[in-house]
Amino acid sequence: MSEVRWIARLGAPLVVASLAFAASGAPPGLGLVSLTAPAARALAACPTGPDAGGAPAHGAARPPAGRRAWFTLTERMDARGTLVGWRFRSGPLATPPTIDVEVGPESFAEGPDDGIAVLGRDDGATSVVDVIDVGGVGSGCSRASATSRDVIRDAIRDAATGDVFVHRLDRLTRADLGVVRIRGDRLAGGAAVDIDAVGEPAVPPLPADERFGATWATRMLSSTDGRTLAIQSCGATACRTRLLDVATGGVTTVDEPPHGELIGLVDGALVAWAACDGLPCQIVRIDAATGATGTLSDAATAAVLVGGDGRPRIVVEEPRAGGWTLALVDPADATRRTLASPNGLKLRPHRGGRTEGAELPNGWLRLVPADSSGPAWGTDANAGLLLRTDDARTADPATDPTEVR
Amino acid sequence: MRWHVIPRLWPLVAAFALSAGLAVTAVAPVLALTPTPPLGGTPWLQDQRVGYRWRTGQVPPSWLQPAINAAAADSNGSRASRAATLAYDGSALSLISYDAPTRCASNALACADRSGAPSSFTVAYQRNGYVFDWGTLRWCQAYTTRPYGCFDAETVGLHELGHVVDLGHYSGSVAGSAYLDSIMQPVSRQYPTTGWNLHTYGRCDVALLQRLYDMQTWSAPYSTCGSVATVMTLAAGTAGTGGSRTFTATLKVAFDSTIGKLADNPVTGRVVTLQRRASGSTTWSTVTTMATGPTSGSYVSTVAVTSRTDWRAVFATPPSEGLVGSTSTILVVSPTACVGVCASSPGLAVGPR
Repeated sequence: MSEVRWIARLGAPLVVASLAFAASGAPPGLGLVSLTAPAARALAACPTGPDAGGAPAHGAARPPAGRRAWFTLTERMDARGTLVGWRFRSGPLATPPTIDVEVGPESFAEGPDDGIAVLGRDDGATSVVDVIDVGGVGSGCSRASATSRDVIRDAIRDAATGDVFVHRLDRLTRADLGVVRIRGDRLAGGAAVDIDAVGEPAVPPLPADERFGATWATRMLSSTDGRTLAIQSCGATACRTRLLDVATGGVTTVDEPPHGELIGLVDGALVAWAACDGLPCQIVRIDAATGATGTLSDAATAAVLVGGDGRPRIVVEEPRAGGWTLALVDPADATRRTLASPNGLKLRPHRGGRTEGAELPNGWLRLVPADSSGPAWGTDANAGLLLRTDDARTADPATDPTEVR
Repeated sequence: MRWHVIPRLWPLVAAFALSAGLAVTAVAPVLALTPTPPLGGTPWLQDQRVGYRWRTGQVPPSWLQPAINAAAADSNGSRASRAATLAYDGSALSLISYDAPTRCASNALACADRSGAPSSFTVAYQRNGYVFDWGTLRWCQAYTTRPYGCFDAETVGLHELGHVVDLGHYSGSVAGSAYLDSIMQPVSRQYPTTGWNLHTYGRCDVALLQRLYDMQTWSAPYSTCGSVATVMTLAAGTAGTGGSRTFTATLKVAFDSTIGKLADNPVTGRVVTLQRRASGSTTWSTVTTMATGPTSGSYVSTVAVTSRTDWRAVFATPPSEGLVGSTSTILVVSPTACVGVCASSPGLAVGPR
């Protein structure tokens, strides 16, 4: 696997990034835009042209400097502590945000991949998903928009084709409507497209299953090789994961053994939390074809997927008497080695909905102080460090580690 | 109602009886209820006082803080065991926060992390207004008039603090009124569904806490979730004036590796009767209810023995707690001055039959 593909896919599972922009908020010249009302194209449209729309070809070279990007979703609360929406900020790695917008409470973000993020938002009547160029120098524009009268709960872009997969719920009943695929060429025209008109069924609606009960959360995630899209729907105690072969359209369901949230999808296997009641919790590997299960950690409190030596591994944080340890675990065979935790830093806890994402080079991950809370970036004093798992090299999170020598 | 017997209890009890040479335990059928499973990890110390404070930068809003403190009081008040007690302490290591989107699984109203036990724990609450696939989360306490479908933050808080003290999720039936058996149901009930605002541990939660942390006193009642076998022994003292004998019964919990700290506990303050029958008879009659003895789990009675009779002590299975009754081995007692094997009057000894 080339590093390029790995980087492209690493964005989704990793929640790591850092920038050196003013902690006070948006930089000069960047206006805060409210997108609570999700009018399509509320974000500035990207200029059209041969370099503007499409997608990098398969096996494309590493994104040029400035193409790596980050995003954060920060909660917006009213005076009583009720979530009233989110603040989406995003920009090229190691630079201030190029986008700073307010969106409603039913919003999400995915990516970034090759400097492109996906932002979804809803106003109670219409959902909009924007494909946003955040990594390009001077960018911060919406490449494409798609709208739906149903509720868009998640969307993810296939970096290889530019296709966007959209998961929706019925607005009235909140029943699962499955996943549709919007071809990249349908999005390249510049105008907002109606998902009902252009979406192709990709994964059918989730059938009811009393073993799982009502669905609490659905999230999509790409495999490290980009060939498979996981659509994971979690009930109160366990999740079921449907795997879409992006090339053939075949769908495989993994609902046994019971498992928790995905950490990654590696070599045809789910790397996931066990269906635990709380933390610490096991981390397991489930072969999607056979259901064979192995244990990658007996008790972990945090985990992230990273590249390293050309193959994906997970870094797990495990409690030990009086503290914790970090271990680098190969999901293929559970072999592991201990990682030094500089300055007692920890993995960023991020089990739930995605509130941050970044494209870091192979093997890099972000560590934060134990008392760190919420997605915090830039000159935040709690920013922590970037750590390269291969050689324990560290970098200031305000830098682009690509430039670390 | 289904009944069953814990199979592996039998050989353990039998082994104890044989080795002691003087006790037999009767294990009655028990309810199918089983204690809430443990979450796992290092337990707290018995009666450990564990403080918590609000996480800086993620402080629960003013409407939530009283509910969390009430949940801690609920835990302390209904633990019925020596489980850790919880209380707000501004300098504590343990943190409670209002930032679940980053700390909890995406399918959680709130979550707990007890990996820091026995030093600390964390609990995080999901934000009011957070949107799940099924709809928008509303905490009842956030509203002057509670909205239909809201969740009680105190009930959920007690559930999370249950995790903190090592309770896992209850997997028993939730049909009918069974939700009362455990606050640790995987899904909390929403207002106004019955049970939406439970503020005490259920009996199956208490059953595990008692196994993990032991009883507060030897006379405290055992949870009715599951069953705990007992062992009764009986001994007779030397004959006194007018042929009186002092019988001493000892009641304790039987050894069982599955009941944790409860094994071998003295059992005090129960109703233990002393019974006798004429030699050769099959009919027992109750002579007296034995008084509490000088040591934990002991019961004493002094009665006149005027003829050779069989004696036993009986602890009947109580209807209001989870102990299983037991009966001692039979003592054959004769009106003789000797106790034990009496060389001068063989056959008239006191001893197990």
